[in-house]
Amino acid sequence: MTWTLAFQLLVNGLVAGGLLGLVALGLALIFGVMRIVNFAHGEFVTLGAYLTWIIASPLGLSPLIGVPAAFVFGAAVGWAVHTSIISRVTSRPSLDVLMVTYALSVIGLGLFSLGFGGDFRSYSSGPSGELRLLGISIGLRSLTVLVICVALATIMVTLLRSARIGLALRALAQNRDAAASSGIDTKWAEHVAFSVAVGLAAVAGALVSLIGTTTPSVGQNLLLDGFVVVVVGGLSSIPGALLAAFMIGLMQSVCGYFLDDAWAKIVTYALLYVVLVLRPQGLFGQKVEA
Amino acid sequence: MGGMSRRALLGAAAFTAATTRIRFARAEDPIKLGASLSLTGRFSDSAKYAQEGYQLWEEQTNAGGGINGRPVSLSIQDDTSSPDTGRVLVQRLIDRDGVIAILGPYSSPITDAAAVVVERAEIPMLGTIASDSSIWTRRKLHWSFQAFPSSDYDHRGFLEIIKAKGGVKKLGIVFEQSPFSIASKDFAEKMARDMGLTVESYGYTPGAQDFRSIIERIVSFEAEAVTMGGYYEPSIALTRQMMERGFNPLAYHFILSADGVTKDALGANVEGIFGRSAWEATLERADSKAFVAAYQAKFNRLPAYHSAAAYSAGQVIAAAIKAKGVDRTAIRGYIASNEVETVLGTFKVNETGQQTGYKYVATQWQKGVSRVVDAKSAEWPKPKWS
Repeated sequence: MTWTLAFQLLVNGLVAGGLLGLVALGLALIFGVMRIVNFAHGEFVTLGAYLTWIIASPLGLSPLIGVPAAFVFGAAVGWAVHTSIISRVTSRPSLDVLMVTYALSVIGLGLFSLGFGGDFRSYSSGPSGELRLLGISIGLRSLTVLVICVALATIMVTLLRSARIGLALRALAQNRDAAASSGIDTKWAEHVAFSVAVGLAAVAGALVSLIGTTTPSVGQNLLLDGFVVVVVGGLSSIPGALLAAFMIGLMQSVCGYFLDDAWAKIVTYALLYVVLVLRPQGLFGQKVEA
Repeated sequence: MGGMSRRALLGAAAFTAATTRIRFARAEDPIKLGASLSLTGRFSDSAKYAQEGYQLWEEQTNAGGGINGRPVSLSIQDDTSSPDTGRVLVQRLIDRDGVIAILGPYSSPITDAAAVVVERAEIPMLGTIASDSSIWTRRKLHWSFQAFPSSDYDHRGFLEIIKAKGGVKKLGIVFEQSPFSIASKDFAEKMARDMGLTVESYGYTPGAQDFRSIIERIVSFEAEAVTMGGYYEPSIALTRQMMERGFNPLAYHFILSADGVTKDALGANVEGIFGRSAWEATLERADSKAFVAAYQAKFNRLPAYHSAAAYSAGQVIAAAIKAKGVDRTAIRGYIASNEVETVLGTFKVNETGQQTGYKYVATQWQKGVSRVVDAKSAEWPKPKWS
């Protein structure tokens, strides 16, 4: 393997990992703060993809506008969904909550199919061309995706570390009762967490539409890999989810080159199994003593 | 008359009216046909053209007085692009709706699934858009017939043009891990190697959208020509990712590129891309032109070859019913042993039910239009992607 090939595979892996990271970030946030496994997360990715397609194709605007638009719209939808549905069931047994998110997923998929049909949606506008550096080529669309993913991830980690809301969310994730008794408005914090997570998912969808095609199931395709990333990284660990996402993206890129994409999936899920057996808290999560 | 009582007269009149009503009811009973089609799901972008072809055929047939004086009633059900759903729907069409024949689904996997049902139920079926010939070689089928050119020849037109033009030493073949695509890849590999080309093939799992690793392998291999034998959505994804990567082959072919939506998806970069088609709207045959005119009048756009294939399947079934009536065994026998002239060409099957009459043509996008080409008229090399 030449150095240029190695770097090329690295770049490809980082792009794939970046998208996975955005999806996993939202999943980790929701699980960390609310202890909810959100099966509807894929549909929020699809929401962002279709919104961006509408902006780029029928409206004829730059698809890059879809990125902030997807975040804002996604966050608004997330707020509405959490307020009207999720928050009403969080006190129920976890299986009930799981079924509610699954039902939301099925409803979302149905609505997208009805609204947009099964045809794939694609647009040719957006960044075009490639950047060549030291023999490595990176398409400008892929570069855009990578830059946005890294920027958002950095912003999220910084906010969680130092902003007031970030501290509130971390407190909630560590101990809900203690957070409440120290004056944190837990309901509001949960609304914010869910909204931000959905906004991030929608941005992932916007970016997916930029480098691929959009169908009603585009989000679901990312969701399963997103779950793997979250488990491997550590269920409540945001930095863990991001690191795991890039790691898995790189692994899939290398496996895809030397073997094929079927093996890339097999290796990914074998890694999941190994982690669950040897380090169930995830590579970067904290062990919880019984 | 003077000897008949009034009661007898009234009775005779009533009897005549009743039997006349019964005769009219039989003549008006529609001939029931069924189709399971991918109206939603991953095949729907192409299957909708097939739906329109079926609808046009049904409308024209009934406008012309039906078949043997009886109208046709074609029930089209949505299999959501799933073979399992297709199987259930075909069973339901046979058991619940009492259809006498099945007009085929979109795609080889769903046709394969439907074939299990029709063989058991002994109902004739035309594999309208089933290019995978292995469906007919893997097992003995008596009631299912291939009504589409075989996928074995998917890449043949492109390879013939490469041979004539020269300048290509290495060929990359991208294929889906599905029977039809594997069959066409196997044929293409052999043909290309016989031509003296060095060949590498790259398989991907159905539903894949990320081809970056495959593209790196193609780049490492330094292929001058690339041919893609998968469905539409992954073909577009592969094409766009090759553009992203800055990889510009001398010649590029994907089997479904002739579809009109290719231009919507790729814009000006569609120029020079080769495809293959079972039929094109630009063909000069009189029956083809009449079909195009009728299709445009009804749907306000040009038909794709899926539309022509579906319409042709209707023509074959109509010919069989016209000749043999509605007896299923007789219809089956007719299809198995007769040639039928259709919009797609000459329908003819061999003893295993595989299509031997229909052929593919090579196409290429030239100046924004998908045209039927040969080695002489093909644009070469492909313009560089921007």
